[in-house]
Amino acid sequence: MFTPILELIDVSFSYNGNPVLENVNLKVEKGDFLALIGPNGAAKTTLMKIMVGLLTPKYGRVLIFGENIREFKKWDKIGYIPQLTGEINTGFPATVWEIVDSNYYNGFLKGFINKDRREKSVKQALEKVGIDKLSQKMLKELSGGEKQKVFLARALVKNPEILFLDEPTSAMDAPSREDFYNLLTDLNKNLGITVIIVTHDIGFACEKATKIGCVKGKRVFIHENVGEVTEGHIAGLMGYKIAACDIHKE
Amino acid sequence: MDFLSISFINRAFAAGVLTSILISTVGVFVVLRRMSMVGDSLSHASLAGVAFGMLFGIYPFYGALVFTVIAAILIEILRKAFKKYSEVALAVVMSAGIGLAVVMISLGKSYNRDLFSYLFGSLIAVSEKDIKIMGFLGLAVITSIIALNRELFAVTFDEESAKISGIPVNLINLYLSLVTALSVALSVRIVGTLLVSALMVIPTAVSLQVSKSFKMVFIISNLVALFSVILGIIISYYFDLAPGGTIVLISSFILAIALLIKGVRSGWD
Repeated sequence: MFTPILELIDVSFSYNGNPVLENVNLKVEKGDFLALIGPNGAAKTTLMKIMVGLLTPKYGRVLIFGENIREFKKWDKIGYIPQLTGEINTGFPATVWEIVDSNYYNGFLKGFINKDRREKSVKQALEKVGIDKLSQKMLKELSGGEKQKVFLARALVKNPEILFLDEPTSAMDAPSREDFYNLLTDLNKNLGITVIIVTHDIGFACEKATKIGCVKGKRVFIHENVGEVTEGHIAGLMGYKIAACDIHKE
Repeated sequence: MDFLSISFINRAFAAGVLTSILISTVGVFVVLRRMSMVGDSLSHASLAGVAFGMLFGIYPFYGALVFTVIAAILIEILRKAFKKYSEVALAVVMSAGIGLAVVMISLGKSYNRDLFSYLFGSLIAVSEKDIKIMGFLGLAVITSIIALNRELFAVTFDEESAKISGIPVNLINLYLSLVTALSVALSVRIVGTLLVSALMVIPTAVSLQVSKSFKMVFIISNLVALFSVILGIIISYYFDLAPGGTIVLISSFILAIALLIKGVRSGWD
């Protein structure tokens, strides 16, 4: 039996005393593609922030690569793409290269010392995502889809083993979304990167994910056999009928 | 130019060059973190420090240094307490700074020429001692900013991702507050407490209009500040004007030109 790459054990979380997640248990194995879905306000983003250690659960433990997230130090194993609608300034006056490069961090002054290795990693990350031609463009000059690819390249610059993405396609049109999902599938299948994504895109979740996590009613229901879950089931979930969660396995 | 042989002008230039590079570099991070008003809050705290120094017979520059550092720490604490309304922290510290300054000025009856030199900046007030303090602290701040530029970029751009990269975000935030405080305190001698925040913000505002990379934001911001300070010192010497106001007017004029050129190029879109 493999040690899960990520494990949440009896995790509960409250905002100002109001519980939003209760007794959440889930395991993510290496190579999984987990899509977290659920209605607005179901605490999907909160759950993701708990997973990466940005929020501390009131109760329970988060283990990542077998270590408690509180003591975890191997940050180069984790890639994170936050919601672009949040506090990130997408008009930030920096080039694509500078933004991707900024995430190559492995300690004070080490970015200077490992300059050649750093530059090689930035180039590779840009190529993986297919935006190497945009490297000298300013972030504010790019479309929503291109910006998200920059954030993906930024997360990939450290060669992570697991990628966390919080609603990455919310500002994209349909073709850009398709393109972005194909890229994620490719990273998951060909490079073996474990992917955890918060999404409202039910069709994508059913088609590409290997696990679906329904976040609803302060709980998370994991469907490991994605074949069981149809788009219709999940549409019910989004319409506040929890058909998908009726066939749940916690 | 024979005025270069005047010793106080040389000191003013030395202080001006250092101040302009320092304050405009820190200004980039301050503006991009949407904390443009932090300069105002800190400079008013520095005025309280000057008044404290005058009241208790301590060198006012030291008072300014200590008070701005305390104010910077207070701002960080209050920013955490008012997470969603972080500008409250700036308003509170600024008001407290003015209040404290006014009370101590009236207690010490120190409405004198020296106080005005701290309010509006002065060419002749920069002493050898000031230059030594400015040189030592200024170079230390600039060196540390260069050494920490990757951390500062990451935290300024996206704090959450910076945390997940393993950057000690709280420590970097505290560091940035302290260097901002030191930069303000070091700049009040030449620009004055009332106008130091303008020199922190305007050069960055100019560079944001024209820069094509993050590196260029710093270069242009430094050049605008340097040009404004040097020209400001020359003009204020020949026309007997307060250097702070002259410097700020020059940088505002450059900003107006940058906006005009950008407007014409984009067809006022």
